[in-house]
Amino acid sequence: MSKSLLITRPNYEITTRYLYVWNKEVIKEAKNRGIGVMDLRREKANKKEFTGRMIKVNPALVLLNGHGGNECVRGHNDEIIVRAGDNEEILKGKIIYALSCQSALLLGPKSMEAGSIAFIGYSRNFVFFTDDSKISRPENDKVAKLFLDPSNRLSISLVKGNAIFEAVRKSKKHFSENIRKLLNSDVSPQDYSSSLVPYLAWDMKYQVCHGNQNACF
Amino acid sequence: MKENKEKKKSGKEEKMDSDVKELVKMRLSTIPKGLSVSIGSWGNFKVEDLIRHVEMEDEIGKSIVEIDMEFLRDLKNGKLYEQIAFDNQT
Repeated sequence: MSKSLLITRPNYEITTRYLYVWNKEVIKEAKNRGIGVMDLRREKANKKEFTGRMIKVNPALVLLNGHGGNECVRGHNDEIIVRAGDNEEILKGKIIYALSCQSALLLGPKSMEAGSIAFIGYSRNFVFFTDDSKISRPENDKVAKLFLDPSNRLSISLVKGNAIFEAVRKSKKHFSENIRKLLNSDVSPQDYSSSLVPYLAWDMKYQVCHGNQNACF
Repeated sequence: MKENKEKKKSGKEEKMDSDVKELVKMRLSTIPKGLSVSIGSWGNFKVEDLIRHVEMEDEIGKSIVEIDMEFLRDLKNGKLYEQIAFDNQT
């Protein structure tokens, strides 16, 4: 299998815009390492394109960003690109990280049954706060960073070839560090309010991994 | 008699729910102004909207109550500290 990754980055409203922008760092890291990146961004994050590229490129790592449900992950304009009971077999032999709500609940186990190596995702809704004044420049949003940076640590750790358990550990450690940062009253209350801790704790708790945690990309 | 007890019990539970609701609304009001939250496919909400959803007890409101109450439970039973300490050690 080629050393390549496929990433979906729909971008059609605030949530997907943030995921779109924040994943640029992951793509940059992968490219710097000479990894082939199939970037299905905006309108290209659709089922037809996804299916075609998965078959043609056969990436070992699949990073799915977008809205989801317990049985599916969506692409641009909410189009379902992979759904349990429909096309989960397309994930066979892959390592998948889905930054998508509830995707680890049903799609994760179903993809394992279909032969995926591992599926990392969230078994409940992934929640994140944003600073209204930074909506036009999500990359400068320190509030969103608290939530999206731990997710990026996971993707980047996978890209670096670390074992899955290590990537998950790094991500959870980052969530923990951010929680501790928020609990420290010395920092700016606007950017780092301790009132955001329940939501970070929630994301950390419900990030789950199915499959072979010793596998690497 | 049994019916009365059940009514009392149900009344008590209702009051508890109402207490939880008020607690969560109060805690939401401590979130700095100018922040919004993205909750899955439900979309992006300002804090004032969240308080309204909690008040209405709709799916979004219930979800926020669940997140906040689960946090308080995990804080009380030490699970959160265990997790943070574990992540820090490893």
